Amino acid sequence: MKKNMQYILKVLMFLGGFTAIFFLIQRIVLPKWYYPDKTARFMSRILTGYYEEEKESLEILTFGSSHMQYGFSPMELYEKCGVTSYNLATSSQSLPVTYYILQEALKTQKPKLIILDVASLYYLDFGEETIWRYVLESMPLSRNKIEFSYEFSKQRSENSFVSALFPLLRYHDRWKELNKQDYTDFFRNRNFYSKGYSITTRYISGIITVETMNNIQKEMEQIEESLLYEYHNGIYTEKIEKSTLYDITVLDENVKWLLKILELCRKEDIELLLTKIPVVYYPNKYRSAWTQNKYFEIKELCNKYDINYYDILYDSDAELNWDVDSMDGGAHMNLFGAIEVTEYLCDYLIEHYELKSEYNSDWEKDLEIYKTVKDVALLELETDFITYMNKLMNEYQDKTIFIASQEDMARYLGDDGREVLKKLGIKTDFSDAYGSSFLAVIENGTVIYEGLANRTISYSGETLNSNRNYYLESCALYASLTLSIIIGNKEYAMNKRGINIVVYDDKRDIVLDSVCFNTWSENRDVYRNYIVVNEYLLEFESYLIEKEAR
Amino acid sequence: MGYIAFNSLKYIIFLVICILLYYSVSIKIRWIILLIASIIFYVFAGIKKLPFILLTSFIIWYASKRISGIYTQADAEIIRQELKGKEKVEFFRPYKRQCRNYFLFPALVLVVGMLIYCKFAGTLIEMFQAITGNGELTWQIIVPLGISYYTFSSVGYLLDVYWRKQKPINSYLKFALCVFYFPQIVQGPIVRYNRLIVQFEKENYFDFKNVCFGMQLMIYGYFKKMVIADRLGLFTAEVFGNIPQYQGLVFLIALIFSTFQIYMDFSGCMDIVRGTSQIFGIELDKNFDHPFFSKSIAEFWRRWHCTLGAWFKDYVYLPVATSAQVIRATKKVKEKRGAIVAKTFSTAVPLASVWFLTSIWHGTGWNYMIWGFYYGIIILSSAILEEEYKKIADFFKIDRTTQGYQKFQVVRTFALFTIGRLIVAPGNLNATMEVIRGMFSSFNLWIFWDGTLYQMGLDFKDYMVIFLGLWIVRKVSQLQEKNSVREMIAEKNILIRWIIYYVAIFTVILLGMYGNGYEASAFMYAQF
Repeated sequence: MKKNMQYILKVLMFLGGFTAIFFLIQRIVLPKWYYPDKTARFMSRILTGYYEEEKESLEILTFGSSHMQYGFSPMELYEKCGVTSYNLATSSQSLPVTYYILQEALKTQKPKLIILDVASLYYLDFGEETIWRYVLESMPLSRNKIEFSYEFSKQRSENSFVSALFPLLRYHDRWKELNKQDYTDFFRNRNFYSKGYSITTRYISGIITVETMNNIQKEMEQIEESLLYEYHNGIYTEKIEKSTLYDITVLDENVKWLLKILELCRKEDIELLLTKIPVVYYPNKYRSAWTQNKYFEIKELCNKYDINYYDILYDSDAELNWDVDSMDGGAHMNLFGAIEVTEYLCDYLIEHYELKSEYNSDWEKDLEIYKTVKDVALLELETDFITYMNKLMNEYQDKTIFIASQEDMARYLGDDGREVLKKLGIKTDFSDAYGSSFLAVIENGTVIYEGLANRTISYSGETLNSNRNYYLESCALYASLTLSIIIGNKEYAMNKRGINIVVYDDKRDIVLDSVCFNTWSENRDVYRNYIVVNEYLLEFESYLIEKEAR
Repeated sequence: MGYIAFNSLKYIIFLVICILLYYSVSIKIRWIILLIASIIFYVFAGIKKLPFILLTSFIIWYASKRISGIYTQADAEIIRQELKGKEKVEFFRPYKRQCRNYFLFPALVLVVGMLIYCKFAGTLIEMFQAITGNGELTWQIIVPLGISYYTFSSVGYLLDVYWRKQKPINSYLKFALCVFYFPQIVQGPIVRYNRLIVQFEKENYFDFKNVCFGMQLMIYGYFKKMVIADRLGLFTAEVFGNIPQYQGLVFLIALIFSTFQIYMDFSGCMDIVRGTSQIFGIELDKNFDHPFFSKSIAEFWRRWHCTLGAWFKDYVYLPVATSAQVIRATKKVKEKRGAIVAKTFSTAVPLASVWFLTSIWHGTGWNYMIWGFYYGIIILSSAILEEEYKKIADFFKIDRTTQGYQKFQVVRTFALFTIGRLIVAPGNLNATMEVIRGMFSSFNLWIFWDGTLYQMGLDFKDYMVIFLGLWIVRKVSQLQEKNSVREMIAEKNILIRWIIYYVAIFTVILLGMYGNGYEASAFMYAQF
């Protein structure tokens, strides 16, 4: 008997050790779905950040796909009306995923309101594996996760259930690509200052208007036959079938999951509000383009099941500025768009729901971070030369500003341009500088170098805090074509005609913006690689989260 | 694949349930748990396959019972009549003939007929269609799981009963367990039922050490199969799947890799099988005895797939060699052509029979025929020309007792086996010819440093894993030659022991080839 007990104890100890090592290794090999991972950026922060929130402290939870993820900023809402919320939307979040995140979320919070973006009601399937895994892998092992994994496996192979519960079996071959980040992940800051919202400064103006979108949709609806004429191996075939080109039917499976979500909300005494973040895009190219027909269909569905619905595109008087509000031509919002959408939503919520507005000291700290990131984001989105330079002068005095011109920057600099440069401390008189090269370095509000020449000019130095070597080169109109702003061996200049500016945060060793204003032309157009600049923002944001946030 | 693969999670779960049930029921009925588990395991491969194995097991069991019954009757009569010597033999003869004509031959015809039908009907029909140029195969030929293995074992058992080497198993259910026993059904070893039944009938108490040792052997098997063999498989599949794209030394590397691959795959599987069985307290015969340490091809085949070799020796080689016809023919040859030719003849006939059957066992293509012929010739020539080889060695003053020469013999055996792989690994004779042509078309030494080798499914880290893995297996094999490695580990203190176990388990979990982007690969010998 004693020996048997010894055996049992040994086996238990061995299994205990095994489990501990298993979970430790699993943690290391799990992909880190956050910056600098380019594929998913902050995916794993969304849920892990949620777990960090104080219990029962949130009033609103929002769900949905990337439309919601990029379209609603809880911090904007908090700043405006003091209501705490958390954006739990994830990329292509299908309704079953929403349901299980909601179940998980309700373990720690008792929100008054759940807001769900309805894009997922039009999904034809429940999405790719990664879409589920972003979420699954952020959840600790629990009954909910087991059910979630089971649901996941129903749509995959039978092995995916086990690999969803124990992702080590799925990612074991990542041993080849492990890096420092994988080992230091244990110590990373889990708090997510922006409460699930993904701030972005990517920017492509809207491609079409709401009216055009709906017209295309109507044209598509009129095509009710599928026609196919083929010549193959000398044989002619003709296939004509009844089939509509534009189908707006909501699949029963999606309704089923919506009702499950509704039931859960009612059981927990939570109000459910369906909404739609505007998406104005070609309906023939993007299935999630938000056409009016879809709106009517959802409206009807909501009436049927007695669910509140507020469509920001068709129900509100929202006048979104599609020239600047979108990150990709109308499909998703950028920071400008998110600020506006949140504002409209805020007005609606204040009017229709009794939400508690309360000062929260932790949130105030997060708000500080949010504002810091937002300020940089707004700088990166700024398109007006004078406003931009004024911002540099007023808000970026503690930063290092590198200026280099290409071909000519004086032609349409104008009085206001010369004035603003003067305010920055630049002494050069540009009134007779047509076709000249120009360089300037401003450190902590002081111009430490400026030079004007009728041929190529260069300057090199070392930054004050980060001790980075930098090298600047500018070319005149008739002398060479090279322009450089190199910091620590990396080129940052836009390298376009006009005034090229790089804003560098010396203390944090991060470039904040790289822009060129074409002061050679009258409009003083802005040139910016928004994808690259957005990466600067992400790096800055990531730095703040890891080093400075609570 | 159709069955619960040994390298799947399903198998681990299945096994855990079996172990828990096995040791939680009364010791007397533990074998019933194994029987039920084995039938369930078999049913997982497809319920349609079940009738074949049931029929085979019943035919063999019934025939053995009847043969034994007739023998018992004859024995009783012999005792009653107090017969001895020649009289006894003469009296016994008609009984034996009765057994042979009414039970042994019909049973063998049925059982072997089933094997031939299941294994070769498809090929024969395809050949027929190719010749006649029309017709479609209208029915599906079912190939029962492990048909070659259980048919060979069953035939061996029936012959043993017929030859009175063993007593029959009285209970059909216990006999069925021998046939169905799940660890050995897919890939062998080819078990001898007399050895197995004793173990099923003995009292299998829970033995902590046995269970631990079994698990350790399984993990080692998984290491060989999933970490080394399947990794090598990426390379060989790429090269032999795209022969026209490669040339020169790439083929040589692929052949060497394929040699290691088949060994790691097959012996790894055997470790899993024997480990599984050991957990239940059942020892299965070894199928591998470090064949790559062999100094000759004959020795190699004694140490590689040992149970198949032993089966052929007992049920083909010896019966053929000692058959009246061969003895008579040898005598005639001796009279006409002399002693040396007669010796060659008497060795060649049984050897040819064995290698002909070995070829068929491995495959029905011409490449397997040539492969069998290749080994037959090597073994025959080394047996017959032993004296001549010795003379040649003496002429060149080669000392065959030195360590260096023995190492050369080991390398030579490895090379000969690798050449054998060249005949079958590419898939068919045309492919083999293409590989040979490709191999001699270029002496591209630069592939070792120009990155070519990293474009075949393996990167630098994979090669490191392979070489380290092979080194570990070699070290373990060297230790195994002297001692039981598991016993050696068991003597260490608990900390070292557990570190070894954890490292082994997590090596398989982390470095094993499975899961996303990798289809669980079938064990190479499971097709037989």
